[in-house]
Amino acid sequence: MKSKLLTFTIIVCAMLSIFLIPVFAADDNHVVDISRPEGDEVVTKQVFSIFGTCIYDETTISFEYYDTEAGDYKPLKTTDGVSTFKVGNGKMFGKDIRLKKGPNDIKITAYTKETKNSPEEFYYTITFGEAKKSGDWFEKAIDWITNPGGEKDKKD
Amino acid sequence: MDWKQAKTILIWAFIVLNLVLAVILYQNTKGGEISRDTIINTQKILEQNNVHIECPIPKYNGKDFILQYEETVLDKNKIINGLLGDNYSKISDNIYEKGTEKIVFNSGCYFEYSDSGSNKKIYSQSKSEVEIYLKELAKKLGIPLDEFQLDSFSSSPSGEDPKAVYKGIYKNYTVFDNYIEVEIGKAGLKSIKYQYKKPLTISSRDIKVIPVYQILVTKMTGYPGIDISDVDIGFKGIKGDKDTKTLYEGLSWRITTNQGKEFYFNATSGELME
Amino acid sequence: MLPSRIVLSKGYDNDHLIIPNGSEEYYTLWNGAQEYLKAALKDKPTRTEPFNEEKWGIIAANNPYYFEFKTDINIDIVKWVLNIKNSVDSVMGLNKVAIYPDDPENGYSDTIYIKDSNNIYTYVVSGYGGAALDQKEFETVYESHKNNFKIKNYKIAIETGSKSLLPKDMIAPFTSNSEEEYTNLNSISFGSLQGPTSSLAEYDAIQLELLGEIRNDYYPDEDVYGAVVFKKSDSVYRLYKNSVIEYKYTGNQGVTERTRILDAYQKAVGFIMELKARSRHMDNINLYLSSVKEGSNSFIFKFDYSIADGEGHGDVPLLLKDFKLPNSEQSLDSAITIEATSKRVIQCRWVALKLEVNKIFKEYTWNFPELVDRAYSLNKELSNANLPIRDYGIYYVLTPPEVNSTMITPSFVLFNNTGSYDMPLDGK
Repeated sequence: MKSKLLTFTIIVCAMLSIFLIPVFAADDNHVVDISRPEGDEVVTKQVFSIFGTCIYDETTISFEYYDTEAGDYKPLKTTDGVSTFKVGNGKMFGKDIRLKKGPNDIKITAYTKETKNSPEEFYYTITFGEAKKSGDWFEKAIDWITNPGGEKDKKD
Repeated sequence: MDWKQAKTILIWAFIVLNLVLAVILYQNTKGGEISRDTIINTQKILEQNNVHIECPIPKYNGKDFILQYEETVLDKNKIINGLLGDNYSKISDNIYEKGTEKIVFNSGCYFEYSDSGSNKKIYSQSKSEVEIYLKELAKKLGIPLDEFQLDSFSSSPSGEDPKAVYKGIYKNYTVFDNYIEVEIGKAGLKSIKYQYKKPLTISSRDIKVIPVYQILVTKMTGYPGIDISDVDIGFKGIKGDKDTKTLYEGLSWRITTNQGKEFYFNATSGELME
Repeated sequence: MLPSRIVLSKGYDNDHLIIPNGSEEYYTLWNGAQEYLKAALKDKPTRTEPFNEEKWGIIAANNPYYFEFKTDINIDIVKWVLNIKNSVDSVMGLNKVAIYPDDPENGYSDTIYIKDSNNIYTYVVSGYGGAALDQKEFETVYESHKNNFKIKNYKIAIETGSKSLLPKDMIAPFTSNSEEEYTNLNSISFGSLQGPTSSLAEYDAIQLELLGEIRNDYYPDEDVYGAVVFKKSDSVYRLYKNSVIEYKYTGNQGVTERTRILDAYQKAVGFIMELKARSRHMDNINLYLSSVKEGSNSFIFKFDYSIADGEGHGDVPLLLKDFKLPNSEQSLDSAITIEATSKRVIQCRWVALKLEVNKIFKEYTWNFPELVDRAYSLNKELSNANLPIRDYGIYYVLTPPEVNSTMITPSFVLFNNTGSYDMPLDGK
């Protein structure tokens, strides 16, 4: 009886540690807070801004997009021509990317010297849609405030 | 026309021209002078306002002048040794005491000596005696007494405790801000107040002073009941704060009353000075 | 009372154009804004809520017209400047204003948002029937500036995400580069720096430069710090060696009645206008009110300088660095500090430098995160403190003149809670 209980306890602990380690490890590689995109977004402009604040002093950031034909992620160049760049002591970065029409699956990777081997990854889907109504800039703005998540698209 | 005639005409022409110019010149200078009537009227207005004036009213209305001083620092040690001797105590950088005697220095060109006891004896309280005593003391303390002149010598109503005031003098101008005030008590010297900066030059300015009759009429009528005993002009500065050196002073009118009170008015602006 | 910045926006995530100060459009837009303010302030606001940074950021980004003042301008002063006679006083002052004529979200009425030091006030105004700032005017200004190289097209910080640590209504090029042109500034110190003079002729020359004329009721003098002093029975001017001039009223203040802010402001502005008119060294300087503080029975107003770069480039503000008065540990923080009561100005200190732009423009390409990075790596103090950024700007930084004339190039300046950090802007 006792030995069965003991064995059971050991197995549970082992399984717990197997499950928990990734969780702790995941916390360990958190190096950047992405403030834009705020989750998946629907936009009506081709140029989209990615903005984030790093936690540590030297961080490497990479942008990639999912190429449906190739079935894989390819480097995504920003409007100043780079897909990977370093952020220094200022800890702040902001880059513009060009979207294609329709959904764009974006992957953002971030790592410091310490977390190089397990970089932090973020996935977003930014949908570049047509303007709902023609022309009026203030109506677009109202749309944006009242539907930040883009539920409108889903209804259509 | 012959030369003889021409000569005569020319001579007459020049004589006439000279006469005309002379009249104009006379009128110009006369125009700057203050008439006797003005003075009489001033006296009348003052009397109407219950202000009595017993002295002549100066008529100066020419240019203003600026007196420039040298930066002067009193020889502290000479003064302390001359007044207190040895065995004095230093209370602070500017205050020294010995028994009932005390010296306070202020701003580098002023000091005040006071004695609540009777350490410095003077034979009598007469003016001549005080002057002799002061001459001796001045030599001991390094005070340039020849740059001062006696301005007033007054006693209390009972005839005792006289106070002698000397004011600075430079190139025949009175310098009000250089002064020595000496108070004599029954037993001897009670206090000395001394302020002195060395005058350097006097330069004229392009502005004329306000004649004192105007100041009498516009300002002194505000003090009914006073008796004006003297009116004169000299250099007096506008007080700055303690960081300002006050090396430049202009002319001021001084109006003194029978009670010994002095009013100073800036000679170019007419404003009352502290 | 002029706004320190006017921004024309096409909406959230869209163009935000900064209209150059002093341009014709700047005045047209400000005049239009005044009409809306007059109409709004006649009534009570439709809604009042405590200030929320995120909410205000959204308002700034969404509304077509956005006007910023450097500080909260007291409502009495606003009423005087705008000539508003009857008003309902709900607002304490104006700090920032957003205007949306014919707002579709509010029944096509005119919506005006006002921020003072505590609250956000929303006014939905139906009483204004004029055409100022209407769609046509917007399009005209927008089209004429859209392709103008000199116009800055920045983002508003809310658009970098609500989680970012920047003040949500801060306006800067956060992601793409901004290409801008700036000229250099020539700064000439006041009078000669050679120390106390001792001839009356030299004093007269200084008086001429200071007061525009030689006044015989002022007597010259020196002080122990080598400053030139001009004294009158009730006032004194002091000219310090670092080109700071101080005026102090030394006369009797008289019976003190309670000072009202508008009276004090009028006296202060009057004094400054007279100063500008008299002395040639304040010629092409623009002034913006940057703070107001209450003294024991007076108000202390601080103004900052800015100078027009010329040819439609707008203003560049000036920042003081290390201007200390002898006998004081604190540096001056504003170009003009003036204290006034209802009766008179009692003290005024101002930096008297003759400033001229040299009209030769150089191109600068920069973006905000890159310059922040450079500032943090150049400045150990800044990165160690790690405080959030409160504000930033492109300034000409003025330091006490060592020689008679100095050339100043534009600088990028960051402000946080401990102070300001500047570095040259060669942003290529």
